[in-house]
Amino acid sequence: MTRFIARRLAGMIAVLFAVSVIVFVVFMVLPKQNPAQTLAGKNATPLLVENIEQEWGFDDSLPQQYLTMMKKIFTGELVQYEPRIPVSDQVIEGIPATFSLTIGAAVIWLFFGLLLGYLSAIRAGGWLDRILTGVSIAGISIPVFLLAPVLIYFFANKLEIFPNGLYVPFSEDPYEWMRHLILPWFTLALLSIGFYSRVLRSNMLDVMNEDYVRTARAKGLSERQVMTRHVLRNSLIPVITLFGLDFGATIAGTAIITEAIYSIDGVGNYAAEAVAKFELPPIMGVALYGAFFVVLMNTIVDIVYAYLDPRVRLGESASQ
Amino acid sequence: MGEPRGPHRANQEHTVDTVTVDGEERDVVTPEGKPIGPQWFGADGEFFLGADSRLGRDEMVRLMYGGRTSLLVGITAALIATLLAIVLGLLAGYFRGWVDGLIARILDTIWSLPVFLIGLSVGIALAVGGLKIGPLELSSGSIWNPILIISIFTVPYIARPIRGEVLALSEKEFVEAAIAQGASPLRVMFGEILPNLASTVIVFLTLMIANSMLFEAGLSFLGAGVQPPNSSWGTMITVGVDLLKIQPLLAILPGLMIMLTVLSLNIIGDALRDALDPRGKARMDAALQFEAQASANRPVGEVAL
Repeated sequence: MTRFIARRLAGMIAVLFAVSVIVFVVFMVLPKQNPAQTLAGKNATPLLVENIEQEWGFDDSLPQQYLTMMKKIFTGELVQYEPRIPVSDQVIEGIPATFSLTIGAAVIWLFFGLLLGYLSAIRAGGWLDRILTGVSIAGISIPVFLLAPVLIYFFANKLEIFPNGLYVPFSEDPYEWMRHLILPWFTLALLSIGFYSRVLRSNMLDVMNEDYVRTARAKGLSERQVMTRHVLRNSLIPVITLFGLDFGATIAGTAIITEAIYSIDGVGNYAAEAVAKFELPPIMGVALYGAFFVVLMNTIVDIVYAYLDPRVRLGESASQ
Repeated sequence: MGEPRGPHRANQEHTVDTVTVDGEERDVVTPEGKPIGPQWFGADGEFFLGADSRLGRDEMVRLMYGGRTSLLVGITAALIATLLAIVLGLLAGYFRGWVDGLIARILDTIWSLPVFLIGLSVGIALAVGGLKIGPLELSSGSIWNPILIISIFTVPYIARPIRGEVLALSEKEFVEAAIAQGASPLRVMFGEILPNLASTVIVFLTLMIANSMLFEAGLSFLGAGVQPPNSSWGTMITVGVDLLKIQPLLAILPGLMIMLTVLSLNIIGDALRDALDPRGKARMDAALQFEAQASANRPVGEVAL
């Protein structure tokens, strides 16, 4: 186990290094334009450009420049230039909104995904299963940038049940916080609800054929006990792993789009606004901080999974 | 559907609207007495899906031009990714040893990146500064920027299963026979193994196109993909979302197009798999499983948007 964790951590550091190198190369080395100019933004004065050039040391060797960039990232000295605000402050400010959105959505998608998956597995082949299959396939197929406008149009603009985006902090008004987040939550969750219910269903159908399930029935457990204690429990392990990975991927993917459509002041919207204004330092910061977070999450999930399922770590050492 | 619905009335009340277009505010004057917006099956006879509220352009035509870009980016990116993946997969699966180790490590690294976030930052960096690698020079607005980004970041998605299949195929007798006859590694890889990969490649290619189109739409929606004056379904949604209240279809139609195209491609992919090789599903699952055992990393997934 220790060896496995050590290997995973080494892998994590390699990926993080790769991320930082990609960002460095793309922002500092590849552009045709002077990188100081691209960092400063469209309407920068020559003086600002010159300052940035000095500050980032664009005359130094490439490894030196890379170190300067990493130092700025870790000490929070990375700033956006118009107006001059540290990127790390903005990212920290956006974290509550981003987590409110993603964690809430995760709770919804796990609850409904598992519920629908369980229902369609115990009624496999029946009409309920068929309806749920149709619903989940439809859910998987709708991209967020279609679902969000449809939901906003019907529920916010036409029926006026829910507000049209924006974010109210939980500490200010818990009820409004929830009311503002319901549409974004479902926007983010629907795809995963469909996907998780399919995964749980097929896992459960596999497990139902196992010998120990027959044994459980043979020793006289009720159908309900067999399903919940034996089948469901054993089908959940892969779902939990998937969840750990998807949660990270959602924060670094769909959540950005969702935050942008609903104007939720999270990290994703900060990045989206910077993209719209062609401001580079915030994107650099969000990409690096976000990647660090996601890669860290994935590593933790891997380790937890290996802890839960010994086959993973044994398989790993056997293939080496 | 004679009676004009919500969006029409909203527009008739305001003959001048302020619209944010590409970051600047503009006044848009709606033509007198003629509602801008969907006029189902030409209630007014002019446009099939109505006009956009920016310049009164035919929405249907815009959808078709946008679709051209989306398809171009999706298909080209998928083709490039597939070509790269075939070469990498063949090299890794055939030579094994350190070649495989190196390629697998690179693919694993890309695989574990938060691809959309990194793609977004690369996209905007290129959209601002352009690209210059030796003789290759791309201007900042070039459509090749999103194509390159998408193809490179999606390579592992297809290269990993191909590598798995090459590993399995290279143990087969016909490969041994070819080597015994003195065929060169190139000949074995491209003459013997490659034809056996055809069904896998074709099936994955359709799925890759779908995937790349979603990726492109996500990037373009945020403004880091296709740049003006080109437009794609993704950029059309961006404009439409601002006008959701008065003209919901401007955001919903391009989204619907993306969904239908991606759905069709996925269905075609499934059907192709059944048609090309009845045992294909079992074999592909086996290839994926082989792959999963070899790296025990994470389930094969896609860029879910």
